[in-house]
Amino acid sequence: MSAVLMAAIAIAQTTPTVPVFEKPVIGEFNVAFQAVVTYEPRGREDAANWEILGRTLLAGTQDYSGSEIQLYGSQAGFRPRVLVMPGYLRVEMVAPPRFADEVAKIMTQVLISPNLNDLQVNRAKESAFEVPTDAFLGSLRMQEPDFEKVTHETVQALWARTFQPSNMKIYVGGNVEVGEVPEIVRQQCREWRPEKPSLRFTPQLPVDLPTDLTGTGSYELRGEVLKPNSLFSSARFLAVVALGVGKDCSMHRVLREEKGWSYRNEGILYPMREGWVPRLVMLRDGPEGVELLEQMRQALIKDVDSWNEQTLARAIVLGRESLNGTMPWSPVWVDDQRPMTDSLVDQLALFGYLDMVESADVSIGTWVKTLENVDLEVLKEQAKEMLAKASGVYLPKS
Amino acid sequence: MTGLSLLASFILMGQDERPRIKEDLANGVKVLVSEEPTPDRAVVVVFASASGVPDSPETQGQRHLLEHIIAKGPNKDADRRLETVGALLNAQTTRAGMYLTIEGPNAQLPLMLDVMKDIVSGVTTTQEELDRELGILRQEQVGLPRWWGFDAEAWKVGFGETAVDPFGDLESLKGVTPEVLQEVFERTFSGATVAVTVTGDIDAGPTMLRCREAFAVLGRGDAAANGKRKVEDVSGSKRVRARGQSRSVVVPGMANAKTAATVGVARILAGRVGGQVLYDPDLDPGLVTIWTPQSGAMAAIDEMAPAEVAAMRTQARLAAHSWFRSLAGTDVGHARLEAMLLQARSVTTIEIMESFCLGADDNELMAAYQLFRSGSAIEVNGR
Repeated sequence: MSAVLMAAIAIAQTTPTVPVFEKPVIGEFNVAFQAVVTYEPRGREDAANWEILGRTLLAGTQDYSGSEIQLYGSQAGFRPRVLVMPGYLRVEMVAPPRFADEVAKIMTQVLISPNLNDLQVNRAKESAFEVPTDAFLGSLRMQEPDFEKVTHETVQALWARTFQPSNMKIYVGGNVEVGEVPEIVRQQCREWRPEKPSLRFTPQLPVDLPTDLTGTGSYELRGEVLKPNSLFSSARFLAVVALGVGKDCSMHRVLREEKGWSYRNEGILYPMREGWVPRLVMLRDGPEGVELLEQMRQALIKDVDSWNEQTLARAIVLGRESLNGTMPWSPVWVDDQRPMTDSLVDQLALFGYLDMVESADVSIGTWVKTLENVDLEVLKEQAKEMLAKASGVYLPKS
Repeated sequence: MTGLSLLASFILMGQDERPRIKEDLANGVKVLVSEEPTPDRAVVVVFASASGVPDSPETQGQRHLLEHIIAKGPNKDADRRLETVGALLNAQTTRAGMYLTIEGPNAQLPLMLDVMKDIVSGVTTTQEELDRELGILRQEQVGLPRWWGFDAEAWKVGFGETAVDPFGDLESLKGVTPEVLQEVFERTFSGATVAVTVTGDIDAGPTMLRCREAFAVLGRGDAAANGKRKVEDVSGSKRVRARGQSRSVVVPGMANAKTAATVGVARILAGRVGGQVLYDPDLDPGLVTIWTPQSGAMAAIDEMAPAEVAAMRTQARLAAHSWFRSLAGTDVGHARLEAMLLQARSVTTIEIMESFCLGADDNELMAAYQLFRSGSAIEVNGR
């Protein structure tokens, strides 16, 4: 074999690319693109760099200005955005078919050659200091980043370290021409030479809980990670529904109607890196302090004893609609702002999320079917266990 | 059907030939039943116009408190009955009126109508429940979005000190007794003030028969003398103890193209100042407000170059259309808008409203921009 041919094969085998997963959907007109990058920030400053990195990614790339990214990426009526979570981020764009190739290039360049300059990083820092507008969303913040020392150098350094072929995936769904996007991505990555990741061990530093900035305190019982292939996942999922979804749930009946403690109470499954975290959140402005958490836990445990077959039937119906994305008050979130719907964007996000948390072996359809197999005693047992083991998180009103 | 019913019913066939039946019941309640291609789903909306109990310093918040109480149902089991079959009840009080919405599987439509009938049949409450509900209202108040106070102050500048916030004043609500609430109920829910829409994967004819039976419970009521808000280009400023800034412009209401143009421009300007747009759909005059959490950000509106302003027009039309689609593009949103139009006997249709967005006139767009500039808008500034 000639030396030239051997060199070409060697280059092809070592040229990095971003893996692409395709999910064609019959009947969809648009093409949705999502890129997921995973990374666990270590400490408040690292978390701040991660947040700012996410907020700056769409400011421009090697070949596309920020305006061009917005222009091409908005043609389907959805603005490009980046969701930043502790543990991963997700870049989202939707394009009509005639712009799909262009957006595929943009998406790839956003990952491998973003323009992370000083001006854009400073703009992102300004908006990062904003107080959440919505009290409930504000109470869901998982950490308090420290933005003071963030610079474009620190953000660039984090990008170089974390945006590696092993950490990134692109998901494309909808009106997909199978095979096209992977080829575009491969072509875009031809000149890409990612930095070799450092082998140095960086210890995980504690990340402070956020202070409340929204004018009302919050009380939260936070359960253990849940995903479709977890043990007792169906019963635990239904427990979250029975405890925290709708106005006949335990939280509404007990914490609001009976105790008068709160107007807004809700149970949600929050999409963290390892899986969904059950979060039972009550907003309250009152004279009590952290001691109300334990009262909240005990009140809910006591209510579980009153659950009957109607409770189970209700949880199954609402749970099924939640997983199908057809319920407005669904506890299933694939975003940090709102419940999951049956839209193309959300269903692609779900597809990517299940892949990221290594639970793609149990489809949502299968999970829905298993809900019918849960019996009342198991439901009550799992609900009580979830409540008993839940961490209590209290954010006092600032 | 009786002859009178035949006269009062209009069977409308749209372009795609999905049946719609519109009828005035004997007590004056206006009902629209329409078959829509939303597989296996149905939506019931009851809209009770605010004209029955106009917001004033004396009545402030009473409709909101009423909403909290009646939404539970007379036996406090409305949500349990509905959620057990996968249906959901949502209640909301706005300056325009009160919306009671039930959505769920179409097979459960009889139950959904039954629950709605129970809800609009009257108020069942005690002083103890009202007192407890005031505590819950207080918790709702502390959780209001940060822009709330800005919008409320802007309304007072635009329409006078009597343009009070429908959320309510908790001190004045302390005086509300079950008897007072009953009177508020009777004035809010009557043939003069209520419209009902039922849409979805349903049979229009039998559904209208059910509606006649369900909503016959309401009294005829008296049409209130409606003190319509005046449309004037008002400016002024106020200061509030909160962070942020807002600018508001008076608009004539959803049946006028100027409103869509103003919303479209506002959405573009909001993007420049890192803010959001507030507008409650209403056929009456109201405010379109841009609010931003960033102090000083509104200067970016004043600093726009003429070329930028001119270039904004197409984007503003698209933004208006996108806003309208988010409002009317779901079965629930569509049904709510239909109910509001039906109650007012408006000749405007949802299709006409949508056409206002993409067809927004250049002059209207430019005029809207000028009104949002400093000195022309209602400005509320935070500390």
